[in-house]
Amino acid sequence: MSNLVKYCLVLSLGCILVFHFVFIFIYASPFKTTNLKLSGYSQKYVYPLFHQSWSLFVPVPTNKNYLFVKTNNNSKWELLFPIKLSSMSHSTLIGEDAISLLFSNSIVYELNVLPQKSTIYNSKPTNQEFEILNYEICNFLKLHKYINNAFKYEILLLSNSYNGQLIYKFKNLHSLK
Amino acid sequence: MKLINTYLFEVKHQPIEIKWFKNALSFFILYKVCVYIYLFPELFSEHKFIYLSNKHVNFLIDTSFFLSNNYSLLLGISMISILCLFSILEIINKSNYIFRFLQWVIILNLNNFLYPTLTGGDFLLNQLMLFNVFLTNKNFKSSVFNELSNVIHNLALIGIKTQICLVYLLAAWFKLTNVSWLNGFAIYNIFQIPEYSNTIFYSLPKWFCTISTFIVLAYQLSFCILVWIRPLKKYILALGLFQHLVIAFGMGLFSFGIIMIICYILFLNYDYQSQKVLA
Repeated sequence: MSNLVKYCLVLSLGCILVFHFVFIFIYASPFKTTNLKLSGYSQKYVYPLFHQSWSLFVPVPTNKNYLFVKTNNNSKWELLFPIKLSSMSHSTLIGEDAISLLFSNSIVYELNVLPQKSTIYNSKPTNQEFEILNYEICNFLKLHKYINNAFKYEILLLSNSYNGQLIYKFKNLHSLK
Repeated sequence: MKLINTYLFEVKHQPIEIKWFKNALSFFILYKVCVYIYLFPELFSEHKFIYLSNKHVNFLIDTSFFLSNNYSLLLGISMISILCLFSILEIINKSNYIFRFLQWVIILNLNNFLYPTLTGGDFLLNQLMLFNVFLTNKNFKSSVFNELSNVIHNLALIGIKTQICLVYLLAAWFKLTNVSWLNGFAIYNIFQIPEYSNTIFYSLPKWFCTISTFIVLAYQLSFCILVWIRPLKKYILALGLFQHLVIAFGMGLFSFGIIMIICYILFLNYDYQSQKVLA
């Protein structure tokens, strides 16, 4: 390979690498550019093939969240989340982190849209966040308890923070078809 | 410029570490396959916990959402099986650029499908698999192909190391913007949350957590400089290894902890030492 070809190759591949990391930096850093075009391009380039987020434990989680379920023929509340404390707990080595994160994220998203006071819901809320959380809980119950049978259930969501405890109760929920 | 050309074109750097890195990555993917099989009812069955929504952007992006957009049990099982096969081929040195590229596409598909269950480790795995496509220890008969594969290999190696440094730099930057990390309460607060804690962590004294918070912050902030200083490297990597083992086994974020440890292999520089001995 001639030296000229080598120079061109190094220059072009080097530029691709620099371009790649500059756009990832713009996309994933706390630095917010005022140039909307640039941040738009970085979003288009990075998501979803190179998507990454490194705000690890920022903000620091402060709420202790607990999720309980009660089904029609079971009068006791069963703890479902945190997974580590529930009957679903097995071992970190075999994917407990995946299921834990699944519920943790859905609970946090739902809590973000709920009012800042304890509430009882007599029918199913219609927001997308609850739809997702309810889907996960319903399939958990189907998988572990009621395969093929229709059932009724209730959800109790507890969120403890420095400001006190918030309790949300969702009643009259029916299994999804 | 001549020095850069010599560095990039003459040899493939760090062949020993690259082989270890590739094997570790392949065994990690085989571990992920075992998790997928163990959690198959929760992640892939008819009653899976994953809430699916279709995503159509353009052809290129849609290839990474192929599994999500066209989910069927058979497609899921096929992708997991092919991933397993490609990883075994990599371990026995029978992989090539095409197999590794397909492996990256499958990982992207599975991770996009399982998006709500992902940790930072899975996002990093996506990037490592991309650069892994270009890493090879094989030499070609044609000198042109050989030089081409050398430059691509060496730039991919630089790419992975840059990515790891970027992870630490951005993680530290985010922490510097947060008051809990700056006043030293962050780790204590995290250990009070049941899903990231255990009985030992829960009962750790506040002063110990405060010191740990500042050590983590200093480590992440300085990693991308100190890891290049040869006398300090082993201490930096040992401290990182300890931190990531705590994250993996103590905090329960196993994938994240292990994938970060795998990345450390590339910073070992065994080849450099052997070259020095030979000289």
